[in-house]
Amino acid sequence: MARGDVWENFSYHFNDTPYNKEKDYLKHYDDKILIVSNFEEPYLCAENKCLVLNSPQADSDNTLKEIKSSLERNEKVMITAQAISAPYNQYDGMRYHLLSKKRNYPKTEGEKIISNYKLELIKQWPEENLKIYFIEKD
Amino acid sequence: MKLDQYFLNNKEVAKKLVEAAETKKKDVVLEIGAGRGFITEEIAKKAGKVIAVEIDESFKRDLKKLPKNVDVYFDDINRVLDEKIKFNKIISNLPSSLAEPLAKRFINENFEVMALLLPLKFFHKLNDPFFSVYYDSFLIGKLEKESFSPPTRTSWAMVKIIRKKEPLFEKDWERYLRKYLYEHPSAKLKNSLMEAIVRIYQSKGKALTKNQAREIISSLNLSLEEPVSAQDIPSVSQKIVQHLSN
Repeated sequence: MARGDVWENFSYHFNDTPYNKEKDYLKHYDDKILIVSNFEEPYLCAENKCLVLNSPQADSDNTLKEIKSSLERNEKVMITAQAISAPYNQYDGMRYHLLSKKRNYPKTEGEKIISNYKLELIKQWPEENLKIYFIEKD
Repeated sequence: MKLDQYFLNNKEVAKKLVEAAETKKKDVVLEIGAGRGFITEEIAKKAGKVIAVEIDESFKRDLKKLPKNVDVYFDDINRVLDEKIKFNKIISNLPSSLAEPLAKRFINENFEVMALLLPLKFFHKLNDPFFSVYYDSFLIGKLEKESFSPPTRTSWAMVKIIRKKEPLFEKDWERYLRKYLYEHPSAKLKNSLMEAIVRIYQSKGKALTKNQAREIISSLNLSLEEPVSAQDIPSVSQKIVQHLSN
């Protein structure tokens, strides 16, 4: 086997978007509302009830209202690190989208939302810098 | 309080714990630290059989009152496990000092799900690079300190743990590399990596010689002479997978 073949065969089997790790993990939580970024939406929102940040439909006031009412109903409210940092450092395939790498604004929509709450980290993938938190009642 | 045990006193929490393990009549549930049988009673209602282990014989009188589908062992859990008893689920309000040693011990046991009450701090540890090779851990919820007698001094949580499938079956090469390196702590890194890469190829039905595996490793500029430290394992395995995907 030539060296080129070795590399080619390996690389084909190493490609999976990091968002699929979140998707697999979240399958095990029932009755939850998930706050995600628009980059995560195609991967996570088919099977989960979602509020999407950084999307044309996003509405901060509505998001805050939904969080509050879900917590009052004792539902699990979860937020991803990608939602907190959106629109920055968003995965497009295996790597960060080029345009999401440069941060221009001091505070993201997600950061503003979580400033009202305490978070409990429930899962992280350190190498991909992905995290999922529970949003807790005050 | 003996043996750093906090006794659960909240029936709702006990019921939720049994639910978290998705307990059914076909299940044989191992309960570690049965205490007065508070959780055992709830497990016995849902499971086909319960194997309740309690080291403290002063609970004998309480545990005599349990239903017929409960077998009680007054012994150390490690000795009971050495007897190769069969079970498929584990439910426990773990004494905090037993959490880590038992989580390590259960790596080698055959089970489907664990539902545990344990210190929140240890739940975070279950997500570290070592335990996450073997387990997926889910936080069901944090618990009130007053749900225990005496009240716990730190935050406690209800946690569900699912055993992960073998990484090679799931084509999770990074986890396979990590597992291989953790399980061969005294081997030289280049030898472990070479073996692991060859096995990954074998699992795909392809042949790779050790020389070809060496060729891959030598292009990575890793420091290869010392046995790799546990802290370095995640970054080494990630680096390999990243490099190979380029």
